[in-house]
Amino acid sequence: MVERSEGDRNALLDVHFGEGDARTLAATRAHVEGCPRCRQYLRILSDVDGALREWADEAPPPDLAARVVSRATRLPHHAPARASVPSAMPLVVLVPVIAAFVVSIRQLAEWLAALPFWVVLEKWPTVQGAAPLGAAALVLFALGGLASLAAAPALVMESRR
Amino acid sequence: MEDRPDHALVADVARGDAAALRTLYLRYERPTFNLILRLAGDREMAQDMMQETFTRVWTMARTFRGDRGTFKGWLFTIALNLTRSELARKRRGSRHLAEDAVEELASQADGPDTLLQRSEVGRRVAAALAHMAPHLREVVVMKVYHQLKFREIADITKTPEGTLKARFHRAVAELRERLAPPRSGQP
Repeated sequence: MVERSEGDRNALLDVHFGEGDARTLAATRAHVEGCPRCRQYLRILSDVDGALREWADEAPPPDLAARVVSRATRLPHHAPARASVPSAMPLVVLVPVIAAFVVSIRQLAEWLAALPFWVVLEKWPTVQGAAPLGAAALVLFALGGLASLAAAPALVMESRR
Repeated sequence: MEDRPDHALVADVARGDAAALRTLYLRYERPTFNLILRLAGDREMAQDMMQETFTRVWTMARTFRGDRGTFKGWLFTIALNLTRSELARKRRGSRHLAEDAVEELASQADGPDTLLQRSEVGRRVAAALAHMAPHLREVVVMKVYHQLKFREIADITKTPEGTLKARFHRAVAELRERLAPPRSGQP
């Protein structure tokens, strides 16, 4: 017995539900005329479809509308969101943040340069290239990364609530 | 208000208009209720999921994008996802129960309200659907009872059309067995 291919069966689904383009439907219908196996599958589709429709639509309880709408609208409504990209943040707020960041890098660089082992470190070519300011920026970056890692579990737990 | 298109009503809901939500609710109450009911098989749960679904519509209306699909598709996606989660939660809760114990619980869900609404044949169909795997039941319910195109079901379920059609064929094979009239001499 030759098995009907998935594509053939899908074409029969389209015929049963009247989906797809008219030309393909017409071609499938013409094929079905002379194919007992396809006619049989269409009959099965029709029988199962008909049996399922015996479960008619049910009416919701009459008071459901009032309950659902009143409870839903009691909750705080989310107003349309405004643009939240950083570019929308006023520069007035950004300037002191950037200034504080630059000052902290300079302070940290001075503190690093004053350390007794800095003279030894400066002999390394990579440290010479980085100089105290670069090294300070790296230290801040690393501290920021560590802080993010420390906060990650709490943030994950919060997002799963 | 009643004649306004869905997308205009959703825009009003996004601005906090409760009357617009009520109009949308009344427009889609019956199809949404019956979608959830046929997926869950339980009127009580369908009412709870209706509450959850329209609460989401109220709080998330601003995220609706009319250029990406219809309101009905968006609403059905919300209802489907909430029902899936609730069914999964219930399944996890009853994982330790034996198969016949689950069936007994399912029959207890047929309260007086259900018996009043559903014919004998309707109950047999409901039982046949309840025994199917949820991903097969979803495609059957949306296709047969809501006459959605496979492309629309693909958008709602985020599943390729070909996969949905393959599932439909499998569902037909299962339902044919379950809905066949009992042979004489069999219980």
